[in-house]
Order: sequence, then C-alpha cells, then structure tokens
Amino acid sequence: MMTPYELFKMNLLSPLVLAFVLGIFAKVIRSELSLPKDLYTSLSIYLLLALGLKGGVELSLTTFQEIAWPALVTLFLGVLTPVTAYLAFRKLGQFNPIDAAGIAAHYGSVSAVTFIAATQFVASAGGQIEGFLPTLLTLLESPGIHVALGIGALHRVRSKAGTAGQGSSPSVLHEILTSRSLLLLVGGLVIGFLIGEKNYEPIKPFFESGFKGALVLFLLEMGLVAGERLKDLKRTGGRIVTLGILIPILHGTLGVLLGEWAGLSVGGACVLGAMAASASYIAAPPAVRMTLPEANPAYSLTASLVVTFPFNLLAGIPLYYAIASGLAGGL
Amino acid sequence: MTIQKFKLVTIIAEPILAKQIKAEIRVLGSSGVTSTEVSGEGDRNLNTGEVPGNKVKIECVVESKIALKIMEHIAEKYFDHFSVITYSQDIEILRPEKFSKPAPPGRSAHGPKK
Repeated sequence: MMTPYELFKMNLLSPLVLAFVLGIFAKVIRSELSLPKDLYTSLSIYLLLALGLKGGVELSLTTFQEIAWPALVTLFLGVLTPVTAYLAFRKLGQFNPIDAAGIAAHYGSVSAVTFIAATQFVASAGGQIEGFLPTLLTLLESPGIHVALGIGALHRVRSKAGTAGQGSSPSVLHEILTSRSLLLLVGGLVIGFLIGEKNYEPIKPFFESGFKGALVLFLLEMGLVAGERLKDLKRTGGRIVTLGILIPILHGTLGVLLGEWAGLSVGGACVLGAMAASASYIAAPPAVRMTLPEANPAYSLTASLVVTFPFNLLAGIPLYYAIASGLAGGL
Repeated sequence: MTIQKFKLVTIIAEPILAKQIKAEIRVLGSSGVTSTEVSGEGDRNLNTGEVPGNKVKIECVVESKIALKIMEHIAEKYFDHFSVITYSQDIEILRPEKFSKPAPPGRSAHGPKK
C-alpha cells in the first residue's frame, strides 16, 4: 500500500493536475490562451455521455443488493451536506442567510469533473471502483440544491424581507432535470443499461480510448476558468478560502466513512468522499440565480471553482483515499 | 418607400435571463426579437455564468410607447438583483407594418409579473 506522501506526490504529477495548473499559469501570466467555447461544450458532452454509458453497462451487471445501501447513503449525503455547508457559512463565516443558502446549494450538489478525477486517481493508485458509482453521481446531483434553496426560501418567508424569487419551484426543478449534465449522464446510463456489454463493445473504442486525453484538455480549460476568477478571491475574502477548504475535508471524510459503512471498497469510498466534498458549478448556479437572486453569485462561484475544486483536485482526493485505506486497514 | 421613426430597445443581461426576457418582450407587444452573445463587464462585476463576462444582448424594434413599457418592466423586475442594462435609440425603418403587429396569441409561457 502507498503511503499518504506517495499518494500526494503521484497525484501532483498526474496529467490532469498538471494540465489544470498550466491553465491557471496561463491566466496568471496573462496569456491570450483560451479554448473555443464550442470545444469546451463538446468535450463536456463527450465526457458526460462516456461516463454515463460506461456506468450504465456496469449497472446492468449490478444486483439490487449491491447498490441499495450505497444509494441510500448517497441520498442521505445529498440531504446532509447542504445543511452542514449552510451552518458553516452562516455561523463560522458570518454570511447572511441568503448568501449562505446560495453557497450551500453548490456544496450540496456535485461536480462531475471531481468525480471523474477521483476515479482516475483511484485507478492509478491501483484501487478498484464499483461500476455503479456513476449512478450514485446522478443521485447526488439534485437533492442538495433543493434542500439549500428550501432553507433560503424559508428564511425569506420568516423575515418577510424582499420579494418572492423569480422562479417557482417547478421551473427550478425543470431547469435542473433538463440541464445538459444531468440529461447526458442519466441518458447515458439508461442507454448503457439497455444495450448491455455486448452492444457497448462496438462504440467502446470511441468513448474509452479518447476519454483520458479529452479529460486533460477539459482540465486545462478548468484551469483557465479558475485562473480567470482568481482576482475574485481578493473581493470575496479569506472566509471563502478557509471554508472552501474546511467544508470539503468535512464532507469528504463523512462520505468516506458512510461509504465504507455501506460496504463500498476503498476506491469506491474515496470516490464517494470526493463526490460529497465537491461543489457543483454547472447545475447549481442557474438554479440559485433564479430562486435566490439576492444571493451574491461571486461568493458561491469563487468558493466552488477557485477554492474547492482546486483543493479537491490537488490534495482532497488523495486525502480521502488515504482516509479510506487507513480505515479499511485498521478494521 | 416609406421611412418611419421607431425605437430600438437594447437589453444587455446575464445569459441565464435570456429566455425569460425574450418571452416577456413578446408579451409586452414586440413583434420580434434578436439576441446575440456578447461579453463585457459593468459596475457590478458579477461573474455569474460558467464563462466569466458572458452576456446576452437582446434587441427589438418597437413603437415608442411599447419601448417605454419594455424598459420599465426590465427596470422593475431585474434591476435590483441582476446584471442588466437597457436603453433605447431612435431608428428609421422600412415596412413599419412588420413591427406594429401584436405578438401572435398563445406565444407566451411566462407572462410578465406586475
């Protein structure tokens, strides 16, 4: 088994992390480098559909007993993490309730890139991952957003301050359920599940051999986006940095603990931890913007994109893996 | 050939509002709408979308009383919490009948709020 030091070192020298750092570096030196928007969109469509398809094929080989507990634990995390994030940003960070609820919605949801990065890390560390984890990813995407928006709405009713939000709940639900990421993931899962291993074989080369390379390009773009927003850090302050690191450690540890309790392998528990620790930056922002327009989006986007995503990518994922293997070894 | 004075109303907003604003403009009496992706930043400096600085520019050609109605609606509904600006300009158009038609019935999913 690798020591935590070896795990961190291996992670820092992975192509994903280095591509991400290159993206940030390009922005820091004010390079004109940028990926065409259409390429970024195409890459994300490819990655999400590939993830869904493979997950669906694996799901067709999974029994209900195998997935039942992990799925319940995942839903529990989806309800718990927005509440802990809300409390942390409200009490420790002293943010106003609406801002805290807006940020909490991001932490309650999940970042698919963090998920993929975690699966790649586990694979390079020599670990195994349960094939049904992409299914868990879709379960974690939306409940957290609703819980956090509910907290925000509740506060608004209580304080009677401000007018009602722009979007009603059904339209927010529609927005989340029809979002590109969830549609591709769930669509891919269903297709993969229906076609099964045999019919997946012919399309497998396209969706699997290019996957890691596409991911490197995508991480380069993520680095550019995060680098572009680095200057927002000055305006949002140290509270965002501190909590943007503490919250993923808390949620990640919880995810690992619950994952192992539900019977996941070391790799599976690490990935579940990374999922719980991650903050959405695609599904949550529009939902929050429409429902809690008073919440300052600079806080939530800076926290999720500039602090939590880089933290998870650079240090969080190996940390969750070390915790998971430590727990498994100690049992 | 008749040239007639009309108003060009421009709204620059966060991309997330595009669909909604376009629908509302139609309901308020514009016969059409054009939108373009643009980029820029203003005094709020809110990087709200996936791509920082991305904005949408929505334009419509209307009679001046409808122009005022549209601008008032935008101000009332969006100015408080969103990155939005709106302005109008005098323009000269051909085929005025093309721009005076009311929106076809049943087009609107989201009626403008009072």
